[in-house]
Amino acid sequence: MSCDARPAIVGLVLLLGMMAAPLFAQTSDLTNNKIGFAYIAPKTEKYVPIMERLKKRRVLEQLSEFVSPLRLPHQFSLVTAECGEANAYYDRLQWSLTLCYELIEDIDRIAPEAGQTKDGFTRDEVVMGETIFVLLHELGHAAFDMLHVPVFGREEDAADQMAIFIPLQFNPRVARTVSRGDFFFFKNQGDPSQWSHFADEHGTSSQRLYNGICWTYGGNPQLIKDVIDAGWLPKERAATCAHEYQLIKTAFIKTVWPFIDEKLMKKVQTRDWLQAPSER
Amino acid sequence: MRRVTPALRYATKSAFAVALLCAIVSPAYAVTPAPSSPQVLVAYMPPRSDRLRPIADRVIKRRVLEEFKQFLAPLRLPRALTIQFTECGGVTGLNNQHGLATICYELVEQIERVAAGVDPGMRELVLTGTLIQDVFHEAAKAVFDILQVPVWGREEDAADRLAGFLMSEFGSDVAYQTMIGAALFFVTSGKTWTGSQFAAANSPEAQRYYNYLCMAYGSDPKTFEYLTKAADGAEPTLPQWRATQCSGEFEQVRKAFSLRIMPYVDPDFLVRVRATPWSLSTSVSVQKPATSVPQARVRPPEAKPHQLDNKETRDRAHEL
Repeated sequence: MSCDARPAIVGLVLLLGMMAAPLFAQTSDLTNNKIGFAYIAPKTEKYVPIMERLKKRRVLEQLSEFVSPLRLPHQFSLVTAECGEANAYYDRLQWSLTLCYELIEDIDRIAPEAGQTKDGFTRDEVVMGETIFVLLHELGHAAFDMLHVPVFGREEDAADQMAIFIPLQFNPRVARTVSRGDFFFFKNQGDPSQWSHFADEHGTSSQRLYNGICWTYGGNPQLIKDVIDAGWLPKERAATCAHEYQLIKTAFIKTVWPFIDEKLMKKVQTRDWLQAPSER
Repeated sequence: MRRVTPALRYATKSAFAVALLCAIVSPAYAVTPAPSSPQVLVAYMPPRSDRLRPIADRVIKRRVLEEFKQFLAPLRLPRALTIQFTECGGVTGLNNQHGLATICYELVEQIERVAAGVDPGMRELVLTGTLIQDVFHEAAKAVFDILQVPVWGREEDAADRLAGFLMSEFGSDVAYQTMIGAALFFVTSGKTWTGSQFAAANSPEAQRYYNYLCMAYGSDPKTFEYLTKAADGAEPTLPQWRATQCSGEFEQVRKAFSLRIMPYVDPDFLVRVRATPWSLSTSVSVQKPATSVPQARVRPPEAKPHQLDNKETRDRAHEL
C-alpha cells in the first residue's frame, strides 16, 4: 500500500514527537535531524508484546540510522502502530511510514516454529528478512514520493525492487536474509483466482516471489543458489535477470544516489545490521 | 529485455543494418523516412514463411508505421529509432536494444486471430488498437534504451504505461481506439496463468487489461467514466477500488515523461501534431458507447477461471 491517510495516528505521532522530543533523539553517529520515530501503544492488549519486542530490538532506531544518509527535503516519520489490518504503508500526505503490529503478527504466524526449520528456513530469517523487506518496500514508496523520483513502471514493483536492491549493497548475509525471508513469505500467499482481482496495482504473490528471486540472482548469482538449485527460477526468466538488475541499478544511481551522503553511507554499509539479539 | 531468437538476431545488429536492409529489399516492403522525422525509421521486413506473407501485406496496407511516424515526429533523439515489422519465430522474440523496436508478424497473426473471434462491430477496433498499442509499447522500450531513461518497475509494464500515456496525448478518439481496442484484445485472448508462468517478465493479459483501462480513465475521467459504472449493482468494468488510483497513476507517468523524455521533444512540433485531427481507422468508423451505457463488450467474463495452486485469494498480505 502506498498512500493511506491516517490522520488520527499521524496526528498522535506528531503530538508525541513534540511533547517528548528527547525520547526520539538519535544517539549514534548515524543521525539525520529530519527523521523522527515513535512506537505507538496499541489499543488491543495482544499487540503490546509485539510493540515491546520491536522496541527492544530497536527496529525504528535502526531504521532511522539506516536511512540517515538520505538528504531529505522535509520531515519524515517512522511509526509502529495498531492499524486494524495486517499492513505497512507510506502516507504521502503526512510523510510517514507505518509498520502495523498486525503485520508482524501475520509474519510470526507464517514463519516456521521457533527452534524448527521448514524447507530449510529458520524462524529468525523469515521474521527478520520479511520485516526488513516490508520496511524497505515502504521506504521505496517514501523515496519515490519525497525525492520526486520518476517511476515509469508499476510503483509496487518499483518498491519491491528497492527492497531487494538495497540489501544487495550490504554484506551478503543481510541480502540473503531479506531475499530468503521474502521468498518464504510470498511462497505462502495465494494468487488471484478471479479476473477482476488482477485489477490490483500489486503483482500477484507469485510474480513478486519470482521477481525477488530474479533480481537477487541478477545482482549476485551465488547468493540464493539453494533456491535457484531447487528450481525456483525458470531458465527463460533467468536469462533476463542480469539485465533487469542493471536497469534497477541504473535507475537507483540516476534518481536516488544523488540524495545520499556518501560519508554516512559508508558508515551504514560497514555496520552489521543483523547483530540484534534474538527475542525468541 | 525479452529473449532474442536466432531468427531475429541476424537482422538486429544495429539500426544502421536495418536501414540498409530496408534500402535493398523489395520496394514493396521498404519505407523511406519522411522528412519530418529523420530520426525515426520504419521498415516492413519481408517474412520468410509463406503463411506470414498475406499478413505482412495487410500490415503494409494499413500503413501503421507511416501513421506512427507522424506521432513520433516531435521526438528529437540523439540517435535513430528504427521500428520494424519482421518474422521473429515467435510472438515474443523481441529485442529493443540498439534503438530497434520490433513487432513480430507472428503477433499480428495472433491479433488477427483474436479479432476474428470478436463481434464484427468491434473487429476493427481490436485490430487497429492492438497494433498501434504494440508499436507504441515496443517504441517505448527502444526510447528507454536510446535515452538511457531510468526505469523503475518492470520494463514491460513501464512500456505499457508510457504507451498508454502517449496514446492519450492525441485526443479522446485516439485514446479510445488504442487503449480500449488493446484492452478488448487482452480480455479476449487472456489465458489462465498458473504456477511458474507467473515467473514471466511480462504481465498476464488481465493485468495489462486493467492497466490500460486505468491509464485511459486516469487520462480522461469524463470520456472513460462509463468504465466505472455498472447497472444492477454489478461490478463495473474497472473496479472502483482501482479506479480511484488511476489519476494518480497517470499523473506519475506524466511527471516521469516530463522529467525524462520531454527534454527530447520539440514543443512547437508537438503542438502541431496534437492539433492534427487524428483518425486511426479510416475503413471502419468506431462508435464510442454513450457514456450513460456501460459497454458490455469491454467487460471481462464474470469470474473467469484463473485458478491457481493456492487456496486463498487477495490475502491480506496482498495489500503490502
